[in-house]
Amino acid sequence: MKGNRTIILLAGFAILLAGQACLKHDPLNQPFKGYQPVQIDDGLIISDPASEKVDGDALRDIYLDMHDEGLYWQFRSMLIFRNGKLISESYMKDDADISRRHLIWSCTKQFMGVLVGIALEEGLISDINDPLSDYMPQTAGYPDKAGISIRNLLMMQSGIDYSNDGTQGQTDKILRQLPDNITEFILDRPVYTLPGTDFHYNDGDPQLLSAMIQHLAGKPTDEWADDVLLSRIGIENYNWVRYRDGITLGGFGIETTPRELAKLALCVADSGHYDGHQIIPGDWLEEMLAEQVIIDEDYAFGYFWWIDRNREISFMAGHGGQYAYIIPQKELLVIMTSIPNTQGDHQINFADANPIIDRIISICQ
Amino acid sequence: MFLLLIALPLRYAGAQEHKPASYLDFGAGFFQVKDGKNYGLVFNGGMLNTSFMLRGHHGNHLYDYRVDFGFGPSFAKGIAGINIKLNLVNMDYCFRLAGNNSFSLYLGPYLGLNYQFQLYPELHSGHLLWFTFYDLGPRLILEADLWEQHFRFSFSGAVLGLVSRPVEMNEVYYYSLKVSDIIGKLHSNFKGGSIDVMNHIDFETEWKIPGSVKSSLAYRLEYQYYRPQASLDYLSHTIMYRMKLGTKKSAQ
Repeated sequence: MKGNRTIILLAGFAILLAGQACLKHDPLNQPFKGYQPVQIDDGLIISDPASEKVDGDALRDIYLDMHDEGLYWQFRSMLIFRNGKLISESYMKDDADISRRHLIWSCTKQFMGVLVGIALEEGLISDINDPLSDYMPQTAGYPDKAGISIRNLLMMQSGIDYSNDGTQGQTDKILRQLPDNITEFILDRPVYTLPGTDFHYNDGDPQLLSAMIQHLAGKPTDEWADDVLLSRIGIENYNWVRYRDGITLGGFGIETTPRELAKLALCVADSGHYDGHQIIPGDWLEEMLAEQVIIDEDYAFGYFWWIDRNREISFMAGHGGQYAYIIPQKELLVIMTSIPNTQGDHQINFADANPIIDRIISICQ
Repeated sequence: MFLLLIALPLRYAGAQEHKPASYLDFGAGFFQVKDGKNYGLVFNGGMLNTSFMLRGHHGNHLYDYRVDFGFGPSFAKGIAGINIKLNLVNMDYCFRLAGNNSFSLYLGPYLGLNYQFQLYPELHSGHLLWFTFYDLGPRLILEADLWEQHFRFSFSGAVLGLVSRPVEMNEVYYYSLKVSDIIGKLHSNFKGGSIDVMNHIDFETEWKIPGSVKSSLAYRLEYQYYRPQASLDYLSHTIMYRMKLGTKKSAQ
């Protein structure tokens, strides 16, 4: 019996010990270590908050909040530029994100908006009011798409029934690379309304523009973009993904760093100038950033660019919480990136980012 | 050890009478997945399990074969995930070390082929996470009659294994949910190692319900870890109802 008692005591102890076992989560954000930008010779001009008349203590409080996982656990980075200079940066997950590429999702659309302006300047297209069919022979078999203009596409008003939504939408099928031909896949979609009559945010419209540019340029859109824009404004650390039929993705598709993303926003904020050269036509930028479509009392849409009507801000926005805000009245530019594949309320939405933008604006003299 | 595991049942199969009994388990449990690819989050969930088991004796020796399937939801910060578990093989062949009328102690090698899939649509969109463990190690089994009741305890820990995990962060645009691609992934980029790289601890205690010939209750704890980046920890506690289906008399 003594042996039995020993066995049952040992077994009981083992069960008790096993029952206590549990896993605890790791810190979701790294501790805040400071916001002084690091010089990595990527062409950005470094400064500091005091020199650019920004309250450094208040800025520190903002960064502390962004590193507080109880408040936000999805943020990956925030960079602030004033007067064209990088005054602060911090990485919530990993300092290596300074040079590590991540998905920027629909911020790709804002690149497309700029590229259409350059295509106009370069003579690839003569008028954005021209129908897409003038430039893309592939649309010939689709008479219901004949009335869609380039401008309709830039304003998300093609009238094509394309959905970005979850597992039912067309984007999911593209992400799973199910269609053989991405352009025909979009053109095959029915038209639900007349072009130019309804704003419907979707990935199909910018994708058709990428296909158009690729056809006109005679090379993949990403290669042409590198020639006419990206290499000229110092964007080097990026990858722009093509579909399996060779067409560069247009509604999403760029993987890059927060610093590289900032370079496009800096050039747009500086009326298309970079290093003393006019890279993007200034009149195009004015049109691109004007309120082309009023979405509601808070937001409008330019040519693929978002406009915060109350704050008078133009911004780039990508799924999950990828943002580049241009705040002209304060000579301010704010980049925020986040983990990219969250859905619904788990993303950093406009409503999450806006209070941070307001706090940053409030600490700039 | 692996060769021993394969060879011994063959050796005995042709030599001695053996009567494997088959069992069916139904279980419910709690599990946790801490995957470096989930940014540090621990997903907690409930899982329903079912398994089929063959258990037999060759004289003084003992063998088990078990296949196990489970699935269940998991959550972290309100984010939902799905976990599917498939243990295609969990087999052992153990030698009697000691015993008397009230207990028997066995030790022998085990082999496990374990597949786990996780899908976190709200965190990773359509990207699938998985971990495949092929592991091998010693298993200790104690069968004991205590206070006129029958208990069985087993404990195993891997000493060698192969583990397949996603290599990159799931931060690329494209993903695939094709069965053929998923099967391919499960068997990709295997990394071998011992307890410095991976482990799989499996502890189970079984209590035969008094007065019932066919029924028992069991508690099982499984812990798996993988340490190279991105690290992984999986822990599950399961309570099972075990039902004996019958005893087959096999050919001599």
